[in-house]
Amino acid sequence: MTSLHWESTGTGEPVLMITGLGLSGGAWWRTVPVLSRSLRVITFDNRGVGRSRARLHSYTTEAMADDAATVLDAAGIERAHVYGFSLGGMVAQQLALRHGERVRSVVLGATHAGGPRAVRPRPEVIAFFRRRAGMTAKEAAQASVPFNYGPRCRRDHRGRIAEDIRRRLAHPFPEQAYRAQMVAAALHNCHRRLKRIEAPTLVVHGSEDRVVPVANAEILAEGIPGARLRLLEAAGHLYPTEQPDIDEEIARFFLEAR
Amino acid sequence: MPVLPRIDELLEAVINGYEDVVRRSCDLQRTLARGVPFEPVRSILDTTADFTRDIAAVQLSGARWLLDS
Repeated sequence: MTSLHWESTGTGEPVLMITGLGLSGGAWWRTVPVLSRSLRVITFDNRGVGRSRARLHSYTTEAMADDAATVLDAAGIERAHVYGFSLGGMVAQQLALRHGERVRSVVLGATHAGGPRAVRPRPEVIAFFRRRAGMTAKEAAQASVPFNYGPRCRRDHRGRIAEDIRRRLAHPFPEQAYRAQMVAAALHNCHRRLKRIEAPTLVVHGSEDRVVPVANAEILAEGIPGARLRLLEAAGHLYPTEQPDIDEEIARFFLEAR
Repeated sequence: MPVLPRIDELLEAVINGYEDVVRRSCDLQRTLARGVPFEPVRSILDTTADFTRDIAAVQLSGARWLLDS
C-alpha cells in the first residue's frame, strides 16, 4: 500500500510544502527554519521517494495532489497554505483545482502549467535529463549543477551548492520513482484550468532558470486570476539556494493571505 | 439571435463533464472501500479507484493538449 512520510515543524497557520523531482521533504532544509518561525510547516516525501512508499508506480500530478490532500488529513488540517516547487508546483496547481476548499493560498515556485503552451527548456537541457538516467546519483548531482544554478551562484556560492548536493545524496531515491515522476511532469496539463484557481497565488521564478524557462512563470501569473509574479534576477532553477531571502517574503505572503 | 458557443468551448465543457464523472466514480469506489471491513476487497477497491483516476488523468491531459494545440 501507499504510505507517506510527513513531518511537522513550528506552530501557527499550516503550510504544506510540496517538493520537486526526486527530492524528499528534507530538501526544504533551508526554507523550513524561516517559515516555521511564524507558521506550522508540513513537509512530506512524495510517493516512492525517501521514506514514502507507493503501491503503484504510474504517477500523475493528479495522484500526487491527492497524496498531498491525504497528508493534510493525517495532520488534522482542514485548510493550508501551499508551497510547491518545480514538480511540486505542478502538484500544487492540481491540489488547488482538485481540492480547492483546502487551499488557503499558494506559492508556485519555478514551475509551469504544462500543455502545448508551456515553454520547453533548450535542447541541451532536455538532452541532459535523458543522459541523467544512466548516471549514478553522485554523477547526476554534479552534472546537474550548470542546469540547476545560475552563473552568479556557481561563481559566488560554491559552498551552498556543495551543501545542497551533500544533503541530496543523503536521501537517494529509486530510479523507478524518478522516471515515474518524470512521466507525471510530462503529462501535466493545467493550462486551460488556471482560471479556476481561486486561492491567492504568488508565482516565484528565477530569471536565469534553464530547467523551467522563465516565460512559464508569466503564463501562470497571467492565467491565474489575481496572481502576483515575483521574478528573481540572475537566479536559476534552485532559487531558494541562490536567494534565500525570498523565504522571508514568502512567509509574509502566507501571513497576509490569511 | 442566439449566440452559438464556439466548438472549443463545447469540447472543453465535455472534457470537464467527463472529469466530474471520473471524480464521482473514484469517490464512490473509495467510499465503498471504506465501508468494506475485510481485505483484500478493500485494497482492490482502493487500487481500482487509483487506476480510474490515473488513466482518466492521462486521457484528460491528452484531450486538453489537443484542444490547446
